[in-house]
Amino acid sequence: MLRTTIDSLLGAGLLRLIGTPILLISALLTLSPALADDRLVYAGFAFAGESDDRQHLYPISAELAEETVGTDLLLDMTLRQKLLARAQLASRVTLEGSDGKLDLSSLAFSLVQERVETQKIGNDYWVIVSLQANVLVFNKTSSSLLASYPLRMQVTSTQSMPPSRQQLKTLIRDIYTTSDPARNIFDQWLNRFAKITLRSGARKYLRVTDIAVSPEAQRVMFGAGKDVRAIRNQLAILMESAISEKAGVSVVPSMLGEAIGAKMALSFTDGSFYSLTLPEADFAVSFTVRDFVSKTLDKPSHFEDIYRVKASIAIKEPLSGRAFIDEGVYHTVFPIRPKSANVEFDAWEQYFKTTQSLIAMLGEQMINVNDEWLASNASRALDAKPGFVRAQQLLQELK
Amino acid sequence: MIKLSLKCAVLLAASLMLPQLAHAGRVEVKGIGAFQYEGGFFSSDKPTDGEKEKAGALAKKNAWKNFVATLNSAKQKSIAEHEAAIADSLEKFIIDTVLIDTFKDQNARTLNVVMRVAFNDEAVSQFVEKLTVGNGQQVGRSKDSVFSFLFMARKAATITQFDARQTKVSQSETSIAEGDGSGVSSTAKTVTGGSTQRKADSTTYAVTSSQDLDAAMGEVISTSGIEYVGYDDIVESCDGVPVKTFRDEYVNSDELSSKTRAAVIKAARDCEVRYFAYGTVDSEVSMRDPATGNQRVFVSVRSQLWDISARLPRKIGSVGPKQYSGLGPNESVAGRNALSSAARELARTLVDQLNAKGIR
Repeated sequence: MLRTTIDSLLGAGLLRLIGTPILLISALLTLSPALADDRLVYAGFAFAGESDDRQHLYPISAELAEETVGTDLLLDMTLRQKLLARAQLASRVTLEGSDGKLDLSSLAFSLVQERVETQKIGNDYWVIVSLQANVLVFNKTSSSLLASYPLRMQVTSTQSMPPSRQQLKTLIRDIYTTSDPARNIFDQWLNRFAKITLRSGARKYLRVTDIAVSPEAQRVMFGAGKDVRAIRNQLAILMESAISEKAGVSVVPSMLGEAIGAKMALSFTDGSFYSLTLPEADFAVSFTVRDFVSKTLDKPSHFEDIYRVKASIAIKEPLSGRAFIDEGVYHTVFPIRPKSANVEFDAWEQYFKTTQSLIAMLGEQMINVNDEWLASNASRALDAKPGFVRAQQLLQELK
Repeated sequence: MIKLSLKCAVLLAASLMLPQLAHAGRVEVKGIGAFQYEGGFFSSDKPTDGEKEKAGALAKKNAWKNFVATLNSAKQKSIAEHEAAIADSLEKFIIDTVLIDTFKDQNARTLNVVMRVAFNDEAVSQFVEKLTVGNGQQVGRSKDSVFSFLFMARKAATITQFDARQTKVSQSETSIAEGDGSGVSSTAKTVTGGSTQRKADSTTYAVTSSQDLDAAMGEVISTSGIEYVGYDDIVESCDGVPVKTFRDEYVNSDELSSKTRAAVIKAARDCEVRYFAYGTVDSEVSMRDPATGNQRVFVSVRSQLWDISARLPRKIGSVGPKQYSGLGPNESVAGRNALSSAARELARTLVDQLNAKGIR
């Protein structure tokens, strides 16, 4: 209330009329702690990850980040305008910057990855674009990460020809600039920010620390000509967003693909760069892909393919080794191919989709333990329930 | 008048905001405390407040041990010598604590507490220094504890990397056997082998100005309360060997010649210097940093600390070789940043080693 009053006094220029420095002292003293508690300094659009990896992490977004509208950078300007259009959210941040004078937390849109997949289904080409970003809160003075809320967005379009580079660029530009909030990642990011309640005091950190792949599963990946390291990174990103989006908790970026996992490079479109120190995990999430198995059933009119991924999920406190959950899980899909269609599925694509679904379902089970799901997806069926309940309680506590 | 008041107001406000800026010195370390409780009739499933408190105290103590393990050996030694006094003051060094997890192990009858403790590194250093060298009147600033240092800043001028030399050996052997009139059979055998020889990189250095180095080191040494004399004053007052006369010795070698070293030490001793540190700080050729796209320069530090009061100097400490790096938009800025952080760390370690000897 006092802050609002002083804000209005300053805004109305009444300070000059009063002509006393005492009010200025009060204003400064009142504003600074309030800002430190409630408001974040808007830092803008940033890329997470090393500069050299830009070309394979987010090649098109990196090009778009350099596009300008007048004198403004396209992505930065669009994000800022979208934020300002939502008054309630805009009131939670200050756009004036801190000028390095105050020890405030900063808010950034940090792009983690951009992925484009093209699949030919029938006569059409399905173009699937996925963007992974974080609502990132960090401290510029100490170069430390305070909280990170991942979000993932996927947009699919179909066309009759394989997409050209220019078409992909248009498609991705549209994800940043479209006025349709359901298809705009900045709107999705703001929606996510709206749901976040930042803790001002002590924080406990959850982090995906390991994505393991058994030798059996690795053989399948090698057979499909896949890069195991890249897939581990993909799965870590999926796991982070599944847990964070469902449970509404902050998840420290895993940075499994980076050489030094304790740091996160963050570069802004204005050229500024931070090497953020990532907090050590208080609770470590690990996901292991144990195996991929499949078989085909020959039915009179169709083939029924069965694809299964076997995995395990664990959340542990690293120092004591206490496991909140450590359970085997699996997921199976049964796609059907009519014999008349004469089509074959790419086994790896089916395995990967099955794994993606399993991770999404695990995120759901972390907030809402479902007996039916456990019976058909947990290796120990309902005996696994206590572990899922403990994980749920932990995530509630971290919220 | 109003202008002056406004200035005062801003200064007052700024000074009151200072605690928020204090980041340096905060070190977070985790510890686990396991408190064994008595089971049986009086024990409930839930830990009591008293048990939690005891396990929490053990967790803090273990976090402290983990924190001490991260310090350099000189500081660890000083802390070990005053363990009891420091343990009594442990709370003074704790900025805040976060209770991460509490759980009971029914089989082992232990209550486990995992805690993250934020220590004030600066407060620990000051406390240890006070215990080790005393303060006020007690501080050992006598004439027999004067300190001086001489460091050469070198910059890699050329680095020659050699390709591996491969030697391949091939030996063929053919044996012909005549049969019982039905023909001739021959067997050919080839044995291949060889060796690969790798040669270490050859680096030549150019000795550069030590101004930045001296300034950065001097800042840390002065702040820590140690009084030191500059080598230039030793040259002037006690007929020391001017740096320019032996600078070239460092171009191709990492060491001073024994003659120069003896002359340097003699002059320092004549000027009543008791503790003398010397060494090299080498900057490597810059390279592009993959994370930032900026230039990165690595600096390697090596130093020895000697007590030169006796006729035969005694080595009482050493630092490195340790690597530091600095980033910048160009080689010059990156090099200066690297040199500055290396010099500060080097000076801090030397101060800790001197403090461990009771010198301030």
